[in-house]
Amino acid sequence: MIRREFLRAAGASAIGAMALLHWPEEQVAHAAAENLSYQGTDLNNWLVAVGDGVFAAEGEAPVAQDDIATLHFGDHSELRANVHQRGIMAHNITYNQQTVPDALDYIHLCEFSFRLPYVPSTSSWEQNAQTFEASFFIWDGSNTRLDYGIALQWILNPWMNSFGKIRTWVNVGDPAQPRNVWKSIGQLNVDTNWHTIKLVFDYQFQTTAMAIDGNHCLSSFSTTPKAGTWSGETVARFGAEIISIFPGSNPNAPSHTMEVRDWRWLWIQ
Amino acid sequence: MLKEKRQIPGDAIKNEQTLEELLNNLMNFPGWHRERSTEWIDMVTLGENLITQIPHFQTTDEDLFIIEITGSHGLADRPPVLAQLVRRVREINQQSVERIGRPLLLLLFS
Repeated sequence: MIRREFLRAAGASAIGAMALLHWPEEQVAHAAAENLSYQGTDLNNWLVAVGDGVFAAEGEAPVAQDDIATLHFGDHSELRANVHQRGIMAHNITYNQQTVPDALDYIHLCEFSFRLPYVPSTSSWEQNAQTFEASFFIWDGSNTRLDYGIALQWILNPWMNSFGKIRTWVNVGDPAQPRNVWKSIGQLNVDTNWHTIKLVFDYQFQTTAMAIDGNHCLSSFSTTPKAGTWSGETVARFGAEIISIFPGSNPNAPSHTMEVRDWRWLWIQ
Repeated sequence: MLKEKRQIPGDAIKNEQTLEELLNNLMNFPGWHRERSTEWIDMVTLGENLITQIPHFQTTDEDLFIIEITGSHGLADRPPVLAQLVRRVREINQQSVERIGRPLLLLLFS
């Protein structure tokens, strides 16, 4: 059985999803040789965009590109949100994008390490957080015009009951017209240690797998509709995202920072 | 459902004023149960909120905050304090029903 067939067969079960996370080194070497491997120590050359998890207090200007930034230091990058500490909640999406017509034919294996440089708390003003997120999506712009993918959300707002909870992006409701929501799947202690996230996505078998610090987590193959303005191309995106804390009616609110390093994205055919 | 228990020692509730102070410190969000209640509800229910809803935060989780009054045996003998406690919890829950469609607080006597 060739590796791809094994991965697909394995992905059909929960135990199989765990097998998806074990990447054979010969397959990694093959992907690298075929120029289907991307990697780096920092996120230099990744794109940076404002996401949809935004809010502006009354009287505040809407969230803009100037409210977010991603800085690169060679051995790691820093995602920042609400850099001017305005009365806003800002969403920084930093992502690597590849426009490839047959991207859905590959199994995608993505990973990076991430670290909070501070611990969010109810007594912290300079820095505080709403979420950290990791995602892999393929926008099928030329055919179904749906966004297929897998995503993780780490709740970092210290006032919420769900502080430290890990959630995954799922479809609920009528399969013909599903809604997208986050569903809790576990807990990751909020600390300043480096953690690793691995995401595996296989469109052909509509299978995903996810591991945090090497521990398998539940994940879901999700389908998300997007605005009609999205392109007619097939675009794969591997992303790291942060959202700064909800400001309420405050004219000032803390900024948020997350460090990311040692990323890798393999395409297995 | 995510449940978090926050405790108030019953014997620390001397009168209505100390009750207000104990409640005020309970969520690390001063004014959460009175003048800043709307802000607190919005903060802890991002995504559920029917009024300031942000689609990115839609979730299946339903956070519930449990306020446990420990050592509450003497509380029944102090109707004014008990009535004040019930009134505050009811006001917050009424407001959260309006904003998210369900109550957020559960009162527990132990």
